[in-house]
Amino acid sequence: MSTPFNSTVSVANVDPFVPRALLAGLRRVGARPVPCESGREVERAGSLVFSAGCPFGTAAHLLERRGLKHALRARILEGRPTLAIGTAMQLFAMASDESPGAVGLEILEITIRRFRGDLVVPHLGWNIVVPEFDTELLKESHAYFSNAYCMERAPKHWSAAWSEYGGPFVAAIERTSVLACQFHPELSGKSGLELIRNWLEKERVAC
Amino acid sequence: MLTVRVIARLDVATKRAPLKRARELEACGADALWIFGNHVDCTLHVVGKLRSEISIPIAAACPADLENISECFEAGADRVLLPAHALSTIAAVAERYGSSSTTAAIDTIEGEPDKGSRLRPEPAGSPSDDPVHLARLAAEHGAGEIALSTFCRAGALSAPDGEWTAAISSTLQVPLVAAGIATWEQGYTALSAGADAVLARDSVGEAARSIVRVKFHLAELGIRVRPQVGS
Repeated sequence: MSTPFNSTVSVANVDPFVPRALLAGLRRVGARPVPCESGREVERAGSLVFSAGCPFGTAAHLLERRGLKHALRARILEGRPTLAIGTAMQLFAMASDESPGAVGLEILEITIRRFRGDLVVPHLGWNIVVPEFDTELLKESHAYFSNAYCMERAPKHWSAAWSEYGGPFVAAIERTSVLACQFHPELSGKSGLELIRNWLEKERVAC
Repeated sequence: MLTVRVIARLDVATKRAPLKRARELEACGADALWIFGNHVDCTLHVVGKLRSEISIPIAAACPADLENISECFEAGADRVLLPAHALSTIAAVAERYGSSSTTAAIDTIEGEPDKGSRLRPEPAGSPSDDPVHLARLAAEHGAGEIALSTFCRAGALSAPDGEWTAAISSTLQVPLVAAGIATWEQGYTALSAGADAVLARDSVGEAARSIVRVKFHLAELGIRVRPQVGS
């Protein structure tokens, strides 16, 4: 599994706690994670992993306060290599039911919704991810989720993969070199690590 | 569709190398590892070692102490197992790390037959002597999951109690894990009673095979499980 990319990957974590699993996952695919803590560093980063574990409103507030918001928004809109995980994917949206009044990165004209109906929430565990026909990186696999809120419809001009929990929801989206996953590839076993590796590989080939 | 999780228990006090066992469990299709130890330092050491090699979720049983909890996450745990009666700690952890980062563990002991309630939470003096009420309190304080273990009066871990599993799951909107599964039949009983996941016992040398067996039989009965890695 561990292919020696020997490439540096910047890790912009919204909350102060950087998940060890993410760093370990990056190292296992041969990358070298380095912290990315300012807007300037986000601009300069080659490949960047953007992660958030806190609620939407807290994450949106921290993005603004730490000066990351505009740099992140710009690089995602430009299609520069960015991998967003968990709440970080939700931050692409305008807003979320989780934190009324909080504003996301406003990249997608979508509002994140709480899972509807009489469901056990959080949606916690392994679910099957089924990509649409036009995805390049996303493949059918089981992936590990931990979320109470979700993207109910796929954004225009992005390729999506879907999962189902009380109804379909967007498990991940990709466009150019940007990949955003509601699930946690770093905790999704071999197939999750392969996804991270392929995302890195794509960028390397493009260079 | 969400699959049923079959979680493997790893006791770090046992002598066999935890990393080797964890690798076997991951390869055999364990959906998560829950690490238990008698000493926090030892647990932290093992979690740190496992995290660099294991790519499935790891939870660590942890005393209700914010410093220890922070160290558990720093070491590489994705969630912590806290005693359900530690309500204020559960609330503090949920606020800091998110509710998905906490599992509230309810250890119950079979009560005196003549005292009405068949199961009571341990330790005595919990905020409620009713496991259903305690589960609800823990969820209200931010626990993202409840784990129910049952011990006989002699202190040994028993199979999950179907009646209590059903009672708790029907009042909760967070996932319920039935702990102490020794056979696939016990797993099936717990899942039929409403559990969302099962925690297998750690029988050294047998744990990996038991995960495979439990998943195989559950799949035969039409319950969705994640296939074994590579299969």
